[in-house]
Amino acid sequence: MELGLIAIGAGLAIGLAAIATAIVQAKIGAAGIGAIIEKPELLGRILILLVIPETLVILGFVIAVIILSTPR
Amino acid sequence: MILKMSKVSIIGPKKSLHEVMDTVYRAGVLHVESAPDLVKGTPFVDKVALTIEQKKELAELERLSSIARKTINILSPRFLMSAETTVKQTALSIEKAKATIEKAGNTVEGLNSDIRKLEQQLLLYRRYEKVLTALYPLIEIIPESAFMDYTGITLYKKEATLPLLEDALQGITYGRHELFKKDIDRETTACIVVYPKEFSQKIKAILHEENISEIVMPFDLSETPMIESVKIILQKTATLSNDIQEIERTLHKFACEEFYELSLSSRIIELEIEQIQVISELYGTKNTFFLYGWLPDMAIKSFMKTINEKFHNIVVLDVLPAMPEERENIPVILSNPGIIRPFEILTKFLALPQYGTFDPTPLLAIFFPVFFGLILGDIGYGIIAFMASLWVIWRWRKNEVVRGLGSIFMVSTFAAIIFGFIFGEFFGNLGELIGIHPVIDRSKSLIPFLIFTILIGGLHISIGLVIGIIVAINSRDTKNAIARSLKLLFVITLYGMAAIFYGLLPQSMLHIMVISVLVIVGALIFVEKWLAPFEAMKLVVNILSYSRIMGFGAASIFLASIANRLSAMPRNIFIGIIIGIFFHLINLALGLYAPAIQTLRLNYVEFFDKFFYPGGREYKPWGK
Repeated sequence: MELGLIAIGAGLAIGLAAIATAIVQAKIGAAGIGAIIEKPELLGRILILLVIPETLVILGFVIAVIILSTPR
Repeated sequence: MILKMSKVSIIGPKKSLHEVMDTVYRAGVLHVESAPDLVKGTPFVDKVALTIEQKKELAELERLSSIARKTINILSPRFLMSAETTVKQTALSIEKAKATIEKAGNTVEGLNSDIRKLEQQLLLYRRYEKVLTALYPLIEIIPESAFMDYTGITLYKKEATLPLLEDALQGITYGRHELFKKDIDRETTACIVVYPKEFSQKIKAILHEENISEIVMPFDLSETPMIESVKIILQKTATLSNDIQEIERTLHKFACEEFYELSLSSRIIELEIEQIQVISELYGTKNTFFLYGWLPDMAIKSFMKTINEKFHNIVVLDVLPAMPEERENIPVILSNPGIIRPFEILTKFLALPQYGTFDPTPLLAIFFPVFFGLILGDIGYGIIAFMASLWVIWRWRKNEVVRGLGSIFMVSTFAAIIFGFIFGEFFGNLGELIGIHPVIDRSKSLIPFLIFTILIGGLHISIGLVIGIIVAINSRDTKNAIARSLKLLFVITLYGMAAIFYGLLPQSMLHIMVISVLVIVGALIFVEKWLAPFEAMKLVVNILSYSRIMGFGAASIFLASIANRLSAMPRNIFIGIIIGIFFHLINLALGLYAPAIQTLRLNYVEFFDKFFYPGGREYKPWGK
């Protein structure tokens, strides 16, 4: 039971963070593509903007690893 | 490294202008700049006017440039698709370039307009094709007669107009007509009505009244009898596609043979235009001209020598001090040693640094391969990617950018092989099988690896902050220098607190650390106002962001292990090998893409943010 709850907790930590990242990346990506079509030289900067929200999912992953690795 | 630049002014008599310009153009080191506002506003100083010949030449060159652009636009998709291309190693004079563009323009425009015309015709005929294919067998059985006429119509089945039409025709011709019909599709029926010529007007009127669509032949066939028109349309629909393909082939061949020469000619014309346009941007008095520009310090000596030798006592060349307000406009040229140079591509991919700031290329050349290697860290994947990089460098040895990217990947994948030995990874967990023992097994020590990556993050960000402080001091930006120093202290204090937590420092120091953090944040608020708490928080997030090195690294090894497990499942060894290769290829693709993007992000967002001033103007020397 306890192990199951821990697994669900870890899953939620990474899953919810991934959903949040996806929502933000979708918006940045759509706007970014529009900007790149107008000004192709912006590719580098748009790429950076696009990967900024990935920190959320990385932090979610770290939390999940910590939850699963905590000694019981 | 950003090369030191100097501003020079060249002043001379107008009669020597063209000779001087030609010399400057041939030297090819001067980034020509507009005259300073102070000079432009001086009485008796005005723009140097072009002669009538120059104006005529400029108009002609612009016309040719426009033709060249248009022709290149038409040819480039065909050229890119072709594997076999001809590179003519011939020196092109301006006259040859003009002739090449004129000839290519005429040929390509002619062929392209032929294709357009044929495509339009094909499009038109295709609209008739479906109906006429259905009607053709009916038309064929209609006997030729000078007294008979016929009309083709289409009817929608669901409107059920056919019985009503038959009644109407009966009423007009008293049975002296014939109606042939054939279904085109589920919804439409095509019909041919044959009747004596005297009823033509009445029948056409009734069709018009009932809104029944009569088949009207294309304009070019309006005078041709229907039976002939149908034959022509069906025949042409079949041959037009072949005609278009034939012209396409000619155009494709032309693109393969002439594209390089055309591109080169276009560039020559553009340079000629630049040369005349630069003259039109110059300022001068009635008898003198002023030319201003930037050039690297290292090129000044030879440039001065060239000018002085050729125009001794005629032209005055001065090296001017750069004004503080000009700092942002000074052109930037990056110059790094051979092995580091390819990494300039990654710096420029973001933006050029401003003049007088720091070029991060050397640091990028260290941290990019290290982070990439830490994430990928697999001998097998590393060797495959290393070989692929070597092939890319060899295959595109003439393309500077692709060759540069290949070199970056070669260094990075070499780092991945080294880290592969440290982690004992060979296509995931196959390392053990071939006797490679890990120094650090990251798949079994995720938390220590996480702590290691966060330590690397702290070090990387601290280096960024130290550079940021030096750049701010050099630019006399006191506020930023203090803010960055406080941030550096904040990072050190955070690591101090972590050291206390892990028992590396005595617990008694915790109070000192907490007070230090509060004092530093307070001082930051004083310097950066309300943004300070966010900046402090951003630093923490920046450091934690380096945990992606562990995250993506772990994902890579787990995926490789899954590929190995899946390949071991089938009883047939060959199926197992195929499954293994398939999943390892997917993992390899992910394993190359993700580390590259994540490493770039760590450098661009977390690291550059501490010291990088983007927006430098690219140094574009005028000349050959």
